Amino acid sequence: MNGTSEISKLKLAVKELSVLNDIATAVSTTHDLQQVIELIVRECVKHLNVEQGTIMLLDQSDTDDKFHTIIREVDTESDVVPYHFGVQLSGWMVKNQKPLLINDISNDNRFTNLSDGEFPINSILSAPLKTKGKLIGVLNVFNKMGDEGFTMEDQRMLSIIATQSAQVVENARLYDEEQALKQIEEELKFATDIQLNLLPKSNPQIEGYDIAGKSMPAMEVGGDYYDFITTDESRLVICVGDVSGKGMPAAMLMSNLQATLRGQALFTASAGECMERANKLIYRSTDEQKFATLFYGIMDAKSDSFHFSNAGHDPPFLIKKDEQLIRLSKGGTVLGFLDDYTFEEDSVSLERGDTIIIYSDGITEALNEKDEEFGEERLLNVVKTGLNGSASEIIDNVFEAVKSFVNDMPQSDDITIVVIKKS
Amino acid sequence: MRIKESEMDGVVVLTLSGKMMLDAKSISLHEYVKNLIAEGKTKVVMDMGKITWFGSTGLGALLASYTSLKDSGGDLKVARATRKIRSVFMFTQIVKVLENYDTVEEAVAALK
Repeated sequence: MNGTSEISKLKLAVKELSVLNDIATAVSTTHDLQQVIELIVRECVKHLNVEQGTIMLLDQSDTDDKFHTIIREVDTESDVVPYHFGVQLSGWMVKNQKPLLINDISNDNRFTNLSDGEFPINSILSAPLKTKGKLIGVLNVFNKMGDEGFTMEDQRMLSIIATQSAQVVENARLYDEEQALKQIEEELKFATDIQLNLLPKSNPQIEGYDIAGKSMPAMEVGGDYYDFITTDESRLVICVGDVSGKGMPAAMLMSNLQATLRGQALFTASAGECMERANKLIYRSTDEQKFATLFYGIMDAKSDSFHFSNAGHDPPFLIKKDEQLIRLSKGGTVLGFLDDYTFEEDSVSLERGDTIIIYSDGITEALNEKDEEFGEERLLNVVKTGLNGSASEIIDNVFEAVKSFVNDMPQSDDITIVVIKKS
Repeated sequence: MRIKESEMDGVVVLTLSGKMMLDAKSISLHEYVKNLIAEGKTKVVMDMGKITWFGSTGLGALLASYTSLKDSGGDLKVARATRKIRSVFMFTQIVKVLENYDTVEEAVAALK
């Protein structure tokens, strides 16, 4: 070994170290995945004297079928790697997990479909990004400047950069995921706040009646909703509904529905007509996945009558003082399903000792660990047992019974109940 | 919930089993149907004989599927709905538009 080659080896080692130092210094300033990747690619482009570089990350959500996994590509400029070529390249890397050096790519039969990108690729050098022995992505540089093409020294340099960068990229990716998760959580919390704010803050006070309502959202917000709207001193509109979907879209639909009903309630004395308008609104203003069941009742304390229309909601119970049971089912189908639908309405008169129970399916469909439903019969039994108590006490009894029935099982849907007692 | 796909006389038969619950999997029934529509398959029978639990989310997925199929010129029929599902169809009055048949063969015949 002569002195010149010793010196050139030393020079190379110094260059490698300085590149790594540049990268380490640069990436220490940020956690952002996009920025980390851009910094690494920029350093590669500079030190390896190439036209362009990119980092492709494997989509880690599909662990069963990596070969067919679509890659997530992050690079300094868009469309550097044609889509099909990217898939071929990541497929090759998943299989071989070692550096790849091609100086004349048009004559390499492993890769085809290079023509669909705007950026012509002549030569490529790639190195796997691995952490703890697992492939997480590929670092690529394209089109070496000058005539000599990529050398083994370039390959060694890119491999070293890839080895040193992999963990940094992985950390940034994990941080990125964590941020995304946090954002989802925040959005859900925001949606829950909206929904909870739509619920009445207090129970209505009407002479001769005892009325109470309560709703308990599930962990992942469902779409239960109830409302009391006082239209004049003797009349009160009572709504209980269940909006399809969850999270923000459900919260938005619910607040829309509430605004509509609150507006309608003051101008329309007919429950059926109010339903028809709400139906039209939901049908026309939302996509095909949005529905709502809704029970809409108008209680008149002067005439002691209860006028209602039911849009596909679990039919409430009217328990007469002699324990005769009437289901309040007259109405129509769920809101938002069919355009221009006519809703029927009905009316019952209320006597002293009568009780109306309006509930959501989260109560009757609550499951215990044996996969049994709480069911209507249990609900009725709990209500009847405590019928002499106040409306609030009846509600507390039901919540308590559902809680002890499901025991340790997580609450899978919102539960809501409104009780009206004629005293 | 599991979805098994087969074909009978040019009609897609989806055999559903398990619980149609408030989870990502129930939403995927509508996604599944939308993919069928994208492939040009718009006549669908859902065999619901093996559904063990059916709530408002299942209903939402079913209605969304029905609407998407109707909008693309197709149709949906339901076969072998359990007593519980039939009672939900009754009180939601879905029964007026979404017919249930005792057998898959009858539902398929109704779509031909």
